[in-house]
Amino acid sequence: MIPVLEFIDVSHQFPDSTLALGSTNLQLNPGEFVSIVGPSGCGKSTLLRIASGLLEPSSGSVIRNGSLQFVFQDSTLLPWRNVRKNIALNLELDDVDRHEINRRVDNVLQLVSMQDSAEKIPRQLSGGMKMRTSLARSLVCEPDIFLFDEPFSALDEFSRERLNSDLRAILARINAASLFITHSISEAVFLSDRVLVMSPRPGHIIEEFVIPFGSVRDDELRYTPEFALLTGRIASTFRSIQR
Amino acid sequence: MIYVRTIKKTMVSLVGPTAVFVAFISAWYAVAYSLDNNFSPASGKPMIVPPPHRLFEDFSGTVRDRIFTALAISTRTALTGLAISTVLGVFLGILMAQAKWIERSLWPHLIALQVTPIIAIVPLMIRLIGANFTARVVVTVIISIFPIVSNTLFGIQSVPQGLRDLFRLHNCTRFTVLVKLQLPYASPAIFTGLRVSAGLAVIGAIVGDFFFTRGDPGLGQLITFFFLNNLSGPMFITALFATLLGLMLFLGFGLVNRVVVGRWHETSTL
Repeated sequence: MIPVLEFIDVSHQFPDSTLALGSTNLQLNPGEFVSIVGPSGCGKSTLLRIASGLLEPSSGSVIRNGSLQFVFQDSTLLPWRNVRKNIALNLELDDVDRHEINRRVDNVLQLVSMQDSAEKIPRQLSGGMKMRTSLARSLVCEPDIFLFDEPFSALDEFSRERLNSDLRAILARINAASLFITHSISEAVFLSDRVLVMSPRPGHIIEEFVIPFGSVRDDELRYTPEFALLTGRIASTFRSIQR
Repeated sequence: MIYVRTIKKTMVSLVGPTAVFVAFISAWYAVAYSLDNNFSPASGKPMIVPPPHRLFEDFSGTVRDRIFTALAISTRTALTGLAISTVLGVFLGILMAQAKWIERSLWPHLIALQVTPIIAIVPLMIRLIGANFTARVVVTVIISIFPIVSNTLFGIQSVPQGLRDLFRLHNCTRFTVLVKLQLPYASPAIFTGLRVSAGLAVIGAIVGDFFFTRGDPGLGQLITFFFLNNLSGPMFITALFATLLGLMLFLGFGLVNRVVVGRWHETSTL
């Protein structure tokens, strides 16, 4: 299987000589959901920016085999555009035909259950709905890879769990690969096929956990002993690297 | 509860301005009736400060026609200057936002222009342009351009990093980023600058009148004329119309601001 995204000995040093990312190797396979957890400032976001092409690595190489979409920590919606036009933005920027844009936006609005809010502007939306719109804006491009930079970190626990479930269901239908940065171990375990743990700065991947819960996951999974055991093991690794 | 809150809000927005207005009118009366020799012993006409209720005594015939003509001329000067300031100011703001070195190159000169007293460059302008309408427009531009440049620059630089990254990921041209992201995002700040500049443009038009006296007289020249002829009532009315012109432009841009960005930007108020 050819990975859709591959890091080969990638490291990054900021202009002030801070080594943000140590030598990192990772592979993201088609349809796979991989989460990265690690302490604050360990280089998770740097890794994601390098993956997207927003940042050039100081050394090593990144191989991308497919189109990608970035979902930011903030919803990054244009406040003067309504939900429909915000979702259409990425396609407009890629010069996609107007009829095709309308068709795809209608489909995605349905996919993220936002049909009733299509004409609302961002200030009329809750935090969860803004994030849902942001997600829809990426989904509408039908990319091969999603890069998520802590997209749900600003949401309350209830909205976060609901969006986690919806995201998992949506991605299962479209078979895209995802690289997901989060601070929440339970979020990482619920969403992922693999969870990678990063060391403190200069960050590199120190441990990999394979999540054995299959592709269809319901909310009850969070309350099973297996789930608790796995999150406990990752948390234990997490604590040991912070000592 | 909502009803009570609305009444309270209305009271707060009405009581303060009304109280200040009453205090202002009271002070005006106090000055008018406490000044020595304020009223002509022969005709009883006010000579220095007319009390408010006698302000419009001479507002008829030639005086009224002259004030309205001057008002039209000053309005033309202010609007022409403001239009040039808007186009030039937004252009400079956009230009300075393109690169740090451009911003650093232009910024000191704009500050210098902003702090230079107009009177210091009057002789130069008379030599270069003449003491005419064009010179008055140039003064208006010099006085009113700064808030538009600084607010355009501030607005564009305030675009969040995430949105800039989003456009970068699509390899957008500078023009696309400007039209689809930077200018719409900066528009509330630009409108704030426009409102400030609208008031300054009226000041520029009146100040220009004092220094450049060739051509049809605007409100500034008319104030000088009424002053030199001891016509205090018409002089005050002319000043009042100058204030009203500034206020109309300020409120006009506030209205345009509300129409254009009021739906999505919460700080847009009149």
